[in-house]
Amino acid sequence: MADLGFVASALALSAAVYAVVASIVGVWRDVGELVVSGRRGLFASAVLATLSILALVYAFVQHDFSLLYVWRTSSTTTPLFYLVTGVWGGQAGSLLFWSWLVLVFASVALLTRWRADAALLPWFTAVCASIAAFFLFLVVFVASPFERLAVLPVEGNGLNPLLQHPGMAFHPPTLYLGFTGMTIPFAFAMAALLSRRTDAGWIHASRRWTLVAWVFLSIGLSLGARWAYDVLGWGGYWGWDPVENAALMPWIAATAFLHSVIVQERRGMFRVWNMALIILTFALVIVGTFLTRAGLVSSVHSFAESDIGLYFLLFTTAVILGCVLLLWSRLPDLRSRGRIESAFSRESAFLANNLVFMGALFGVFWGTLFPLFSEILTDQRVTVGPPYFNLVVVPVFGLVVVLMAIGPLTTWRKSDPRRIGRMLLVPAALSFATTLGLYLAGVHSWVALVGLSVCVLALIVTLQEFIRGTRARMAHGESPLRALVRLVKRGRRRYGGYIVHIGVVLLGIGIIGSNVYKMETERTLDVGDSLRVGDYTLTYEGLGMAEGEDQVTVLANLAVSRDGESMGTLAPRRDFFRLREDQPMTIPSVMHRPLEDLYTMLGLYDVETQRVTVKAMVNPLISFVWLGMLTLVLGTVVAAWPDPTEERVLDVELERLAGQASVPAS
Amino acid sequence: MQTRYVIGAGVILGAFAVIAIVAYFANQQLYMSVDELLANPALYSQGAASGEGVSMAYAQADDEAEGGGMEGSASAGLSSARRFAGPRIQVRGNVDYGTVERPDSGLEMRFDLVGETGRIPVVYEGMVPDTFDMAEAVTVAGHVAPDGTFVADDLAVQCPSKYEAAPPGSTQASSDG
Repeated sequence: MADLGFVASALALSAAVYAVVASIVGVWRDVGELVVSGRRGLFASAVLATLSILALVYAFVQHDFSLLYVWRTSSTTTPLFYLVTGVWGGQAGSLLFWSWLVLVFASVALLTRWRADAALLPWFTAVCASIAAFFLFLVVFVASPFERLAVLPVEGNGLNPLLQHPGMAFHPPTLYLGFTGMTIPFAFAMAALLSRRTDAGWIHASRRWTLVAWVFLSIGLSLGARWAYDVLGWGGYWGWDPVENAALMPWIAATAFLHSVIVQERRGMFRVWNMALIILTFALVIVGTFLTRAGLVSSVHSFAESDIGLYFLLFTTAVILGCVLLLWSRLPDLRSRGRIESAFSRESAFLANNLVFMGALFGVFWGTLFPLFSEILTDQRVTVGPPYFNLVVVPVFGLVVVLMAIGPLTTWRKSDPRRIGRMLLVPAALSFATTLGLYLAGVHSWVALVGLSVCVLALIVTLQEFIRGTRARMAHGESPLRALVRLVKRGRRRYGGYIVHIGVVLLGIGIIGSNVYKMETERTLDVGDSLRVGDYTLTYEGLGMAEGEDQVTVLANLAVSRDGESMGTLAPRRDFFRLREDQPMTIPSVMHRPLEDLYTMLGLYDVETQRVTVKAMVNPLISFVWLGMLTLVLGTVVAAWPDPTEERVLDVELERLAGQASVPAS
Repeated sequence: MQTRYVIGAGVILGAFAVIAIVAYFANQQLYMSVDELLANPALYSQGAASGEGVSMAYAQADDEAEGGGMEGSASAGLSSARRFAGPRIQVRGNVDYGTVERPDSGLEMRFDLVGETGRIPVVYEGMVPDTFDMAEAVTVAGHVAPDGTFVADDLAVQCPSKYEAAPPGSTQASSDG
């Protein structure tokens, strides 16, 4: 089976290369049959890559430890679920997984859009197939998951227990779905440039794909944050680790793109800029994959060092150079069809939004990648940590929230500043009142006060939009609930987007609370000693032991009380896995309360004297972080949900745009 | 698009870039190996080279931390940053496991970080990562005290084989290979 998997991956590579050549020659020489054949080449490649993936899954399920890759990340006691997730648990498998996802996405896009704008699709096929071919090349020639071991081990190495967490099982594949999903809008954009059909056609064709890819990126980032909080045991959810940044950068670029694309659709402006943004997003996807998969930056996530770094570097350079040259040569096609007529307009609000996102992106990019460049140049390694990112990036995200409070109030072409001022009056008053209340209640940090007042302002402006729309419908005799549902249904993108804004505001409130008002204590305790953190008293009642099938657990029993009232117990623990005795795992014990979490960890312990070191922290408002992430995902689903009416309108539009397509539809 | 908007956008982006770059150089930390630190007299000198006053201050702080018991030691690691003349740096090296000492309080740990040309005594306070005992290399962040001790407030474990083990039969064969 394993050999079949390898052969399938090699054939998938050949089919992808064929798809590239056939599509390009077909469209160049105007041979319709070749174009159709190229498209079939891509389908064939997708089928073969699927076979290859299935063969790898089979090898995992059958415990075929003659394969290095299977030996590394599984054992006979690994649960079935983690056997399957082992497919993308390491470098070689994740590269195969990457190419498979690109091929599947491209096939789905071709199947659903083939009739839409036929002139774009041969180029789309060629672009997608070349990206897939690069990854398949790595799989076949550089890092194959089907590589065999010289000796045949009886037992596998087992999956690192740190990774045996549902969050970790879904975190990498959702990020890959987001990364690979971004290749679809990118490929449509390149197809538009190559075929010189740079109308809004490529945006219509790829709009939903961008949203879907974006929501997967968001889910992937959220799951990673939650996993870090639940498992890594440092009490935080985001550490500005280079690999976290690697996933954040394409997310920021894509967010800017999702906003500025609206301007092109509505006003025919920002056409070069949108091309630049989608190229930037894709380049950052490749850089992100490069950072995580080639071990360029050593961090929590980095995988074993390997020689695929050079190939990635070449590919990234080729993509960026090729795209920039192509864009340069097509500049005359992309002349703007509108003008910014006033500094107070929705156009300029979107422009400001894009500038702010670019500022944030630059901050993250510089802090993540400049240390690498400076090391190459000066041979002196330098790092910057969270203080840099908190100083540079966090205030910029504050500006994003400010724009959220103003943007929805602007109108296209020209807004009346006085009207915006009037509409801001109530939200500003409410925001001021809330801030004053917080100050009187004891919130004196100016960072928290400024941040929270901005968040409240944006929240109220957004809610006001929903209220205004619902009221307008209620005036026509609809019941409030029905009016709200209809409002969202009729304007999915707009109101879905506003739900995303609410999510971001909630996330902002959670980030401010859990960073500015975090409390932390670390102490060594004998049985009977207690420790105070915030309003809580933790009394140590002794060590406990538990033996499971795969692990031995040592835990410290802590009785929690507040104002003399008992609130139950916490038991931070350490797990020792039989197969991985060298790597114990510290599992925090957390009491989740609506407005704050009490988070405890077990440090050193001595079984004989029962003396332990415990770290305890109070994380205020952290539930808002998770709630915000959920709301953001929900809003994106609302925005991306298929809408038959909208589809019909788009189809008419596309047919108009594709007026004289030269390629036959199959 | 009109020129003035393009220029305005350029100015704003430039401002963001300048802020990022200035903040970067204000917050950067040197990251070096034990050998590089030992070979750098500006950053590392054995004995009281950087002044009596600083040395005294450190000695006092150290006394407090050890004598004052648990209350004082809880935050000593983080606040130590203000007491040292030199910059905060990160040092990477191998732990000499024979020198690891955990005095009674349980929070403090002393060990020697070794390179090829020498060793540096390290004092660290705080949670020790799970993988410390099997680490191939660790990175400590903190300051050099005037007596040549490295006072670390952060300890990270680097382990190339953290997520992918070496294959059986290879030079880095793991225990169960």
